[in-house]
Amino acid sequence: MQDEAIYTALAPIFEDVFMRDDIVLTPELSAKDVAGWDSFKQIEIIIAVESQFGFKFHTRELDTLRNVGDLVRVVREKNSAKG
Amino acid sequence: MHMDAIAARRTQAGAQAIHGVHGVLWALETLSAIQPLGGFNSLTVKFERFIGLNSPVQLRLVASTATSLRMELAVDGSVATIILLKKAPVSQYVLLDVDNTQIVESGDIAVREHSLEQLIGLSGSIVEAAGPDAYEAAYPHLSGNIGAVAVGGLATLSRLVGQVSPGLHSIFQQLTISFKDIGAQTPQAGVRFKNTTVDERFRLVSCTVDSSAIAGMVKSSCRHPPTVQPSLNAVAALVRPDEFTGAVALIIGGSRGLGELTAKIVAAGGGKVILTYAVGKTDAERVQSELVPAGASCDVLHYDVRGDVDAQLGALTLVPTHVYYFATPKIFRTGSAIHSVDAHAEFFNYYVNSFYNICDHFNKVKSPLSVFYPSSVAVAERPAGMTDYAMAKVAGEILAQDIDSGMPAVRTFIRRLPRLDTDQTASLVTVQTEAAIDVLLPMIREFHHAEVKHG
Repeated sequence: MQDEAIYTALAPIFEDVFMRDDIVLTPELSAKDVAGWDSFKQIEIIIAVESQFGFKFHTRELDTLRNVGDLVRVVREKNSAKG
Repeated sequence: MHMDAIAARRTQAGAQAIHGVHGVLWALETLSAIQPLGGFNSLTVKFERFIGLNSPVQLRLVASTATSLRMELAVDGSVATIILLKKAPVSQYVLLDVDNTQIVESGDIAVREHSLEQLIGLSGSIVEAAGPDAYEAAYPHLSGNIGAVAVGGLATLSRLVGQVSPGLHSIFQQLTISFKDIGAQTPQAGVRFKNTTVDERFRLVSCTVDSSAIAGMVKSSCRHPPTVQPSLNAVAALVRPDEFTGAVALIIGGSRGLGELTAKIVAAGGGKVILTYAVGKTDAERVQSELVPAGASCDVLHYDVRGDVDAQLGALTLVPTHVYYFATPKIFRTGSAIHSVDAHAEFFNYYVNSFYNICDHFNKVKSPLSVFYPSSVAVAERPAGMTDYAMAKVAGEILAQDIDSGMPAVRTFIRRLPRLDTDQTASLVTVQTEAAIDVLLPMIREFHHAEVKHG
């Protein structure tokens, strides 16, 4: 799965989690850039991504998520592993 | 966190909070009084932050189109609740396989306490607390729009989450509901529910709900129960019975958390303990009731650091040799702003002004005294959302250093503590923390065995 497709799939997830349609996803975007992006929102994002892409994150993978770019990278890697 | 002020301070809210659904009903009633809700048959609510009891709440109409309407409840400028109304197809949520023999509740509901395992697949029904007349009287405009039975159904969701599933240790996160036709609504037929998923990693519970008036999905968190500190027996296994003999430790904020643990460590080592509490008298007496039967000396004293020091500490019959200053307001705040004047003032008052007042009190008595000032690694690590906390702690460090050099009778002992297991640090997200006793015990030993001043 290409990164562009992952960003496209993530957009409605962020829209649903933050109930906003004005968040532009970039690799550098992180919690400090979006009002209300706290640990609760992080959980919502993770669960929604898992549901969307059909896999579960490992705890060690969650520890590496610093920004949207990290999230896209992990999604790409896990999708590749699924074959 | 809604009813009991003492219990509420040991939750993530830190103080009594209003029922989130109550806030939603108020917002919808207020809106309904202004404009009809005709056609809006879908409601999504996200509870972003707690709304403290008696906190001024602002209702904002953020966006309005022909098919959707967004409102927010805000406290201190931060969004606490997002409410989204939509004109949408009737909900596709269908409740299947509800086993009403698991839980059937009506009238006054006893609060249940479930483990995560018990919540998996849990189902049942809850009858609304009152008849439609009561809901219509309380929310007349809203009832006129969606039906009083639907209002009762929404209110019942609060009972579901807070009292039944997850129950006692719960936080309402989100609801997505469709309203059914008023003509099909049946009074007090109950709201059926079934937990569809329980995510054990994040302690999240998703629950399908259905009644004659509403249908949809509720998401909630099953939070950890309040942190329990090690027992005196467990502490005594790590402490020599005479290593704190001769010490009289005044522990400010000793009713729970690190103060409670410190009391047990000092008592296990043969020292005398004076616990203070501001509001947690029951907690302080619980600690006392554990220490005294074991042969320890433990007094309990009401002390509010925001009050007059001399008047409150004048009642002491024992002269302290050591003071532990664990007094703190709620540490983790949920506001989105980097800096809050009110939060900073509260932290500064606790960690600086009140700390100074205690040191000044004992310095005037001229009895040699050692004072433990617990700072935080947050001063150096600077985690997000803790700016005001870190600023006040660093100011307290500077003050403690200058007290050490400037007050002849008072020696200060400053250590930066890591995040430890307490009610204050309880989180839904698993956070790796060190065992509090492993961190605290070496510090207490160092503190007690250092030389005191002879002012």
